Amino acid sequence: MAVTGMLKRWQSGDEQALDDVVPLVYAELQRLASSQLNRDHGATLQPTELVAEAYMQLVDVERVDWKSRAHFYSMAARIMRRVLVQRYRRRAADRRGGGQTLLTLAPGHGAIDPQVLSLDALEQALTELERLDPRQAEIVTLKFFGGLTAKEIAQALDISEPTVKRDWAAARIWLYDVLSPSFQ
Amino acid sequence: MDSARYQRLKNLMIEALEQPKGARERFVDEACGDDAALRADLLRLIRHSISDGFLSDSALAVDERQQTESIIGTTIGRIRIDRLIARGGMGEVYAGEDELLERPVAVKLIRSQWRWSEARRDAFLAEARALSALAHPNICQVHDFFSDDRRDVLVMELIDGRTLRDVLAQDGPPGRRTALEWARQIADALVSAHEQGITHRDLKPDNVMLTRAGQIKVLDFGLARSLQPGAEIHGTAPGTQLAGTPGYLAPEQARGAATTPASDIWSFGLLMIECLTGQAPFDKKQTGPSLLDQARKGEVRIPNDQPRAETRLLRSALAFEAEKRPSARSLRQQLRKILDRPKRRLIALAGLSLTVLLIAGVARYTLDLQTERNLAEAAKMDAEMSRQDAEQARDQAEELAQFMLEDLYEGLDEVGRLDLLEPVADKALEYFVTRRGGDREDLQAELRANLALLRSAQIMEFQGRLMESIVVMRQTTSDLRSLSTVNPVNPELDFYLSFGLQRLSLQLNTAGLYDESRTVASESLAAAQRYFQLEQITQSESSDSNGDQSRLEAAWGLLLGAWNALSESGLRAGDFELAISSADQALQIVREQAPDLQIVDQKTADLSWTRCLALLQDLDAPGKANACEGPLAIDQAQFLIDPDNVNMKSNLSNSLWLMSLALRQEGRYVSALSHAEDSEDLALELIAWDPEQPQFQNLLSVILISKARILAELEREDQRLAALEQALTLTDAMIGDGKDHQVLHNHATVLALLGRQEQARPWAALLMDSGWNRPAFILLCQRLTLDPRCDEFNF
Repeated sequence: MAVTGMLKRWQSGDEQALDDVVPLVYAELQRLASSQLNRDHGATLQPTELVAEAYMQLVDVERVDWKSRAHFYSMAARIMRRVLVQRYRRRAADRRGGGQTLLTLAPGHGAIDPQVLSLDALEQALTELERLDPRQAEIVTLKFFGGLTAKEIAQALDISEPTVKRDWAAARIWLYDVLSPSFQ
Repeated sequence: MDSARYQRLKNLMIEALEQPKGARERFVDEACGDDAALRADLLRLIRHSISDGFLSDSALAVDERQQTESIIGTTIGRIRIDRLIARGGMGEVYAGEDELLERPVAVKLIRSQWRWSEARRDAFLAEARALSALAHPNICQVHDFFSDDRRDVLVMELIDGRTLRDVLAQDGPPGRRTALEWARQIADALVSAHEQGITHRDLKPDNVMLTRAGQIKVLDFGLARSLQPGAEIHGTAPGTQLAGTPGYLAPEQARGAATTPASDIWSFGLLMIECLTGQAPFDKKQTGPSLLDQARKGEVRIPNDQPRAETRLLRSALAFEAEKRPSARSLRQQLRKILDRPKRRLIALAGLSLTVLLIAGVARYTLDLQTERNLAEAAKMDAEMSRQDAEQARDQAEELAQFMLEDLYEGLDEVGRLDLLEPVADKALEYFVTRRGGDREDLQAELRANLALLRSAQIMEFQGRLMESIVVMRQTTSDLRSLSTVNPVNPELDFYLSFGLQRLSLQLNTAGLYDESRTVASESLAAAQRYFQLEQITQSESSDSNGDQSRLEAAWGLLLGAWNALSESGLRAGDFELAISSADQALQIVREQAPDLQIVDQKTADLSWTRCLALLQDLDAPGKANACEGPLAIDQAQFLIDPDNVNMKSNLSNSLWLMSLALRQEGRYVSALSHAEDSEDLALELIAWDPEQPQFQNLLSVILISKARILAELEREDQRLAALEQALTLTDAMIGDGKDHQVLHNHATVLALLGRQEQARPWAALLMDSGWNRPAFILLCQRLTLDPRCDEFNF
């Protein structure tokens, strides 16, 4: 299995190996994300399941350790982010005048209805956050796009779990602050 | 903002959030010092109230919702998409409108990744064609199927309702009858489809809808095969679920063998269990592979608390070998048979339509019973037939006969169709006597035969064949008594014994055999009390389920009925002390222990009446009318609850009549007259409703007689004579050859009161021949010297 070998190489310091593996994972995730396999009764598949699925499909599970797995997940989450944002933009372009109508503020609650969160606006905010605090942006990506738990994120980034939680809480407030002016 | 400033802001925000809410602003003030901009940013950030939903859903969910939303309002082909109805494994279902035909439709958009191979698509199209040609009320109609570059589009009938999955989850299981009715409609859909060569392949509660009007619609016929990806691939990945719902797969489907209509029958069996019990017969929390394994082995829990016919049906549908399962047609036939036994709840609807139903029912049931019995007999004789078939035929005959004795009989009684009761009881009796003949050891048969005899005797009583009825009752109760000695702990036996003795006691009263009546009533009470003990009925008993409710009603009806029989036997025999004390004891039990049931109210009214009558007879007792007001109020309330129930109406008419007697005794003639007139109005309604019913004619006769007596006190002679003439017209038409004692009694009384003693005498003599000795008549007979034998009595 090509991916397994590449992950091994990457683990032993071959940065090129990661670049090689990305297109493979990308293709698989795109396939999975668009097919959303195995759903029943309309339950939405969690990103973790998609990533896990991609992992199962691409990697020889026996031959890579958890560290590679965490890295794989983190990479996959970033790819997911790209896949979904691109899809969102394409769809918004298809629709008359673009997707600006998708952001609204739920009346009277001062809160964003998650149903109308614009992935495009989120992507812009995340890009800004990447500039200000790359680790925080990565945590958001892993959690929101990759569906990883705080514990998994801590492992993937090699930081403590409380740090993950604190960073997430602050990032969530900051993102809300950035996104809310566009709500009207 | 640069990175350094953001870091500062972020760290302060994290620190601020760790402060208790009240202390946050002070913290911000202290931490920011002179930096007003930082302070403003920080305060704004920590003051946001962010809904829990923000970023809590995964990106994928957001993505999906937006995808859905972008379709709404667009037009696909000639279909305008209005709103999302459901998400399914293959794609979303939307409500929309066919703009050309201007009809509402449901649109299933099948995602491109489910696109079929040509072979699959051809197979599906062939089925869709067949299905769209098949208009069946229980199958969701397929209108159209087409593709554009992104997806396949299936246009279907728009159904206003919920899936059975939702119905069962939200409302719990429906009543047994409703569940069976759903099952019948599903079977109906399967018959049509199977006979067109279409197999469903994925029958489960998610694929069956219940419309608002209560109609079943089966969805997605044939879609499963065309669309289900190979289950094996996904079944092996940990943390993922199988496509479809493996729990509903037939063993052969789970093993990967060919799916046939018999596989649908299996799934139908599981679905029916779920409708009856509200629970899937497998553990839904199990993982796909374990469910699949279970399905391969055909392991299924058939509930053991269902009636025999249902259990048999489920067993056959869930036979492991596909070829042993019945056809959909045969299932439907069995379900119809089960459903065709109208049950208590249906009968309780009362009213005219019910009468029609019941009358139609009698002819059919007596016929059916004949057939079933012949079948049972044939089965016994035919060595080729298996023992099971014989048992099945016998069970069916048994159920029918029992239904006739219980539900049908009570239903007819309630609507007052006594004329139809006789053939019903006779047929049932015939059946059980035949059966008993073969096997004296069969306690159930003995019991039922005796019940049938009790019913027959009751009908004889209604028809005025009093002595015949008493003879049959004596024989029956004595049989039951000896059975009870042999089987001392059988509550059912005690129930029927007590019931029979009650009826017998009342009849003995009518016949004037008071001593025997009293003995019999005491024995009835003892049997009823034993029944209470054996069935452990206590005051704390709840009446949640219907089963409990009718069991409680039967028990309390029995006990209070026995007390009333005892009280009445005292009343008739002139032992007013016994009458009043028995009624008082029973009324105390009611106050202290009885649950809130309609039957208790009715029996309370009976008891209070007996008490009121005892007081009436006891010339020295004061406040007679007061004592009678309570029970009258109960009867009035009962009547108002259920004004179409013939028994309630005749109870109220009787009560009003008795009240008028009480008032007359107290000398309150005007009030007595108005009660008598109200009573008369109700009796006239009863007669208009069923002119053939002798009970009602008798009731009107006695009301007119007592009205005449009140009018005599008021000295309205013309009206008195008119009432008596009216009564005479009634009794004259009914008297025939004088076999009905009650009619004889009334006829002779009316003639005597009209001063036509000579005409009255032969009827009075006939009455005395029969042993009739009711005090009211004897007193009149003595006063007007109608028959010398009357003087032998001493009241």
